[in-house]
Amino acid sequence: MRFAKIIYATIIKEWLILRRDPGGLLILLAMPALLILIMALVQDAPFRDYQNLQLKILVADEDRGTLSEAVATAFHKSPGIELLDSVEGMPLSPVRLRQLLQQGKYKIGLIIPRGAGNELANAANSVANSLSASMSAGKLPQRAPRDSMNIRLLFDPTTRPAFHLAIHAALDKAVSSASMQVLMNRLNKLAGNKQDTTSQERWTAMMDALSIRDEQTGTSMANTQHLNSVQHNVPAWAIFGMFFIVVPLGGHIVREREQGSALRVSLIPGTALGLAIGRILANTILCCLQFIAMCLVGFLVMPLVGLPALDLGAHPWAITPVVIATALCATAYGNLIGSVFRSGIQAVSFGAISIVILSALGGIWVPAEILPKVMQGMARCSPLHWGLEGIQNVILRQGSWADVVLPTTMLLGLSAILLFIGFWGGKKAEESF
Amino acid sequence: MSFAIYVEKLCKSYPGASVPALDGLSLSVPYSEIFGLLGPNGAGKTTTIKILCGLIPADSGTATLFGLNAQQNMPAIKGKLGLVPQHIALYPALTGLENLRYLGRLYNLSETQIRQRSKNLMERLGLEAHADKRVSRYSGGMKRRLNIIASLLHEPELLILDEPTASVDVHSRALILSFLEECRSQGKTIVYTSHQMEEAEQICDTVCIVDEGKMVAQGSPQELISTTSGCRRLEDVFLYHTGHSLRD
Ligand SMILES: Nc1ncnc2c1ncn2[C@@H]1O[C@H](COP(=O)(O)OP(=O)(O)OP(=O)(O)O)[C@@H](O)[C@H]1O
Ligand SMILES: [Mg+2]
Repeated sequence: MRFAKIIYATIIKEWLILRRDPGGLLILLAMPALLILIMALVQDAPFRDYQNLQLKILVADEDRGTLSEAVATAFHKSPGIELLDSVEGMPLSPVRLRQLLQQGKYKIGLIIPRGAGNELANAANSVANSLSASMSAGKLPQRAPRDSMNIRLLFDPTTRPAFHLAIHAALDKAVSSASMQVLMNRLNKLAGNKQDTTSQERWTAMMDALSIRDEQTGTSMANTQHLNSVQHNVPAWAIFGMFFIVVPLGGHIVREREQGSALRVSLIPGTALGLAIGRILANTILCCLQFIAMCLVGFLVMPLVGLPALDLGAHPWAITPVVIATALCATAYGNLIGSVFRSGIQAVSFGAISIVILSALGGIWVPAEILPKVMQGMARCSPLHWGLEGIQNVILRQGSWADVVLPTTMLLGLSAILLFIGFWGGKKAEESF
Repeated sequence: MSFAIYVEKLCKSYPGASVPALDGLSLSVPYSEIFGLLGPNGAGKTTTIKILCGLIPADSGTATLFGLNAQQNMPAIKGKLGLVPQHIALYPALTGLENLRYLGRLYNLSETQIRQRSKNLMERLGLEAHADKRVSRYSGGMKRRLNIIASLLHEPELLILDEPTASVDVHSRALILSFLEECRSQGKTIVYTSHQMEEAEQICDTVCIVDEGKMVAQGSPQELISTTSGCRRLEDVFLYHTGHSLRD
């Protein structure tokens, strides 16, 4: 009974103190909300690059043969891509195309030099010849390949590497399917068949059947839409914001020790455990409320700025244990920081900087997968990594309760270590006397 | 005769310090008295109080409160002990009443008890009009008075005050001193430190002068004045025993 009263009184006291600390509240609520909004807006553009961006590719076609047609058909199938072979009513020359790219008006250019189609035909002939040699069929005209006949792909230097890869791959596919067609024609010719459109169609159908289709691994369906900047940024920065509890909490703990109020309560017999639990509970609940507030920003504010609303996935309640464990871990870290530093300035600046570092390690800024191996190992020590991992398991990978067990356990383990160091290794109240 | 506090040959050296903070200090505090612990800066007054409250251990010697050893029976002693620290040990963001309510709850007092005791004490020390004001907006004297009230909520038998009248005006000082006398009349034992000799002479039943961690004189102010040659005030006795050189 007395124990519960101590916890209750301490929770009330912690909340009153925080409520009257406008700087602390700003850090806990306004900062993550702003981060979420700004980061989601900033990162929205690159996320869109791969989705519904309308992309114009300049084409300087000097060949106007089968290859040009094949390329045009290949890109014609991609909805976001438009091929432009003339600008302002003038057909594009390679020189003009380079100019336009240099001016940054367009991102990608394609030059098909004169004779490229012939080059392709020549290559097909040589393949057909070597095949027919082994099959003792006839021979087609053939010469040495000319390197200058290659298709040129040009990029504005500011485009992202991932983008290059995608376009390059699409072009590659167009060229190889065109070569296949030419090759088929040659083989038909050698075999003495007349030009036959049905076999060509069969070819195209076969090539399409071999193509790769993107699919998500999650159990639920329409989850391509989940890969947007809101889904990544809301949980990431909400977790970051939760850990910023170290700033007000660490500051308060140091101040209470400096001012001697910690000493005063330490003189009240039988309160130590209740005080500790009360403080941890008050701040953990606060962090959870803060997370809910950030989700509300995701639900309600995002659509107002033209972004998709946050979607918590197929099992939204499964994030509860991760969120609570993250909140506990953030509080435990704040408690530790407040306990080991002598001055408030030290505690607050170390706390803030360490959270920025831990968040970078934990994949808040960039996904942990693209970090070097060593850093990925270190990411496992960052509680922010486990918080983000647990939440993403649910809202991006469409996981459920089983998928949050590991992250939650890791967070609870880290919290236990942090709490232990904070309470047993930290400074004692009487040091302020 | 039994004593509220009995200290014998207490020694304490802080780690890294060249001279001991306490060097065989002995003193005894009778029940229901105001006991003045006097000494120059760095004499060891605060160190003595820390040991009495069980905040730090002594290197050697014994400290006994209410007949109980301070090292071994601290939980039992803490309940009967009220400490007013040298610094203002309160939550500046909370109001005066919120501070008292929180501490009262930690002491397991009922809400009625908290309300009544806070009201009485705040009235007595002239803070009733400021109960709902945040402590950060209190004046220095108001903070000192609330600092005392906060140590009295649980009605301790022994009140230890470390410089309760430091940096307060004449009015606050008079109020605090008369309040301490009132506490004594209720049977409480009061130990207090001060650098104000006049003040000690006025209200103390017994004073103990400490210098360099040792007791150099103990007795009632009148006794000390009359037995020390050429002294007319307590301040003369103090200077007689501690010399005129500067301390740190
Ligand atoms: N935490 C500490 N670490 C090291 N030395 C200390 C510490 N606290 C006090 N001392 C030293 O112990 C001696 C006694 O200090 P103490 O605080 O007990 O003096 P005091 O009588 O209360 O002085 P004042 O009147 O200035 O408050 C001093 O020399 C002081 O420098
Ligand atoms: Mg002192």
